[in-house]
Amino acid sequence: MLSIEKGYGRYGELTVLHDIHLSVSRGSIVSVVGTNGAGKSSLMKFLMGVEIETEGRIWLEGEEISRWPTHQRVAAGMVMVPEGRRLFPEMSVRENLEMGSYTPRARKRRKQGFDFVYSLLPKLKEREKQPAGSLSGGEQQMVALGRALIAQPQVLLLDEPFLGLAPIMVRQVTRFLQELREQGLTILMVEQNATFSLRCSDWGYVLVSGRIVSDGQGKDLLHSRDLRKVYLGV
Amino acid sequence: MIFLQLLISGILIGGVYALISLGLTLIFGVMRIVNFVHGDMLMVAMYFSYWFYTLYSVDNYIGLFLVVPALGLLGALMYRFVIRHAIRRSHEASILVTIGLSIVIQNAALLLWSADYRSIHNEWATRSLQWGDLRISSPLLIAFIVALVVTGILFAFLHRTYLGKAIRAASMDRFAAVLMGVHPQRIFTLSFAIGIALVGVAGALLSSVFAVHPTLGTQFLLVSFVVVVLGGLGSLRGAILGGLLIGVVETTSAYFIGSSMKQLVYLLLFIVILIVKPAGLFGKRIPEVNQ
Repeated sequence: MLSIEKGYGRYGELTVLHDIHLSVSRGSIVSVVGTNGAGKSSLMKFLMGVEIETEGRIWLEGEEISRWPTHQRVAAGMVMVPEGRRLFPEMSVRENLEMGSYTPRARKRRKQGFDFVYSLLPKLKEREKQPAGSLSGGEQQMVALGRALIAQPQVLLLDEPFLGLAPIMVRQVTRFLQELREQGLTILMVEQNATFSLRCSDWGYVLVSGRIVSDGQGKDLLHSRDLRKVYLGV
Repeated sequence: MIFLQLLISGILIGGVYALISLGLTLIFGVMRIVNFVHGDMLMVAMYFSYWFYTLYSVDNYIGLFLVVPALGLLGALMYRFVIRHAIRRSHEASILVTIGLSIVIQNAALLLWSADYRSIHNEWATRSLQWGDLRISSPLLIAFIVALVVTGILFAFLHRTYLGKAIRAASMDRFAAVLMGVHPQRIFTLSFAIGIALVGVAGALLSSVFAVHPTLGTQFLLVSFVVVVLGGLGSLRGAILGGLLIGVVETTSAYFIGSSMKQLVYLLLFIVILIVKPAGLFGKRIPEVNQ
């Protein structure tokens, strides 16, 4: 579905991603975990082709998209929820969702998109007219997810989806992601909190200083020695 | 009575200031650049309007429909060939480039059309409506009404259409807008073209109010800076309110202190705002955005 071959990412002189190989199969949830500064957000930017110089190959459903500009990748169904939600604060919840349906493909299915998102997240319908900036963190994360889903994603990329959420919201988001997977969506997330993310993932990768050092099935990886070494240094 | 007269005259000219400032604040909001060419494009628009009138006897209110697309096109070209390359580099580069462009345009105008003051003498130009003791200048009244309509159209565009929403989204969070599939260069070109087209509207309207000359842009640029900073950089609502306010302040101070001193008053106001409320009436602290 989505894969990276020999990926390198740079900001000017500084190389932040080294020799990345990664693949995500259709209908699965894959997590890349790592500590602060491991290059998780850079990996997301690498995939979207935004704010970072890239080398190597990215394949999306058999097509090489490494040279595509960001808006074309979005149109092809690679949709990202950025770290910290990044909603349009002065726009209403509804307008934020409308921005999600910006690509031609999503615009054509706008009505179905709204119905789908409102049926999954009925709270958003209630808050439709409120400025997005006035919602709580958890609600904002829902809007960010809704905005991405309306874009008709093939692959959903999530940058730190659990960051700053209360435990009850973490459970809700986890359940929500699993529901989406059951509906056939493919999800790739990067997350600092390995416990939350690997528990609901089919496959996981461990990222250290811009290199993938280990991978495995979600729950196995969670209890592996490699992971403990990364997080606890033992 | 005199206060009412000054208030009305001030609001009428303020409507045009608002229109000019809307373009400036829109461009700033989306691209985070201060467009020093803005006033000069007003000058160019007024010359276009003047020449359409003089050479082809096109009334300036009809000429508006020629001047506005022409200015929009000029704006788009200017963005594509000059501004785009400057904002990739740094803030300083975009300031220097737009100031440089301003000097080039002013001198080109001087070379082509000389330093003479040129004005349109159509039948509207000197007419005014009388209502009791109140006198309302017809061209200013028309200018105000058209400015109001154009502002309405602009807001409808920004709030009702996908492209307009993309412009607003890009000015709130460019990175997030790109992630929605917004093509940033397309939005920048469009915003710049709209900003300059708004100046085109103002230019066509003002050509029967003021005489045009090559350095006319500078004084209007100064006014619209004050307006935009007063309203809050990047805030469209702020630009409208600021425009009306500065119009009234300018008209009133011109009456009581003298029109050679009116700039002193609003520039003092400018300094006071910067000290007391640097973010302006509707402003927020706008984060720096990297290209």
